[in-house]
Amino acid sequence: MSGIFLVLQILGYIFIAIGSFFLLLASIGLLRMPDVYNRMQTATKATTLEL
Amino acid sequence: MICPFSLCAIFIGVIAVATFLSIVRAIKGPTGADRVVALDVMTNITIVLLALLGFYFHRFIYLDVALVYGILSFVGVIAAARYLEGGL
Repeated sequence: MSGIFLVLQILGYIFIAIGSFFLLLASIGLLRMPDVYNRMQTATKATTLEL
Repeated sequence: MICPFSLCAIFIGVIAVATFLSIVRAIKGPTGADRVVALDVMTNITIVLLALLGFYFHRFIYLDVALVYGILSFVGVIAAARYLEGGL
């Protein structure tokens, strides 16, 4: 296993961690926001930052 | 592989917690729009899970499946919004 492959794999794990964290954050916001439009805003933020 | 199983298990646990919270919102949503938004978040969770499976098993055909599922979920959300507006 060469070096660049290891670096790319570590970078992939970091990106997956960031996306999963934002997914959890958006789901908490979906549960706790008071209005429909606030929930829609958190959901679109999840769609932008996790994918 | 660095630490293949445990790290992916942590990610899948976080995604499972997010799915549970979204299911709670989809069950007890006061209006119909809340349920539609929660279902949209659940389809996004499914797309992320498909991409994670493709990353874990080194089968990159799962990315094509995730793209087609994203298109179908977009059409479904558009149809649900049109139904809530009363045009369908």
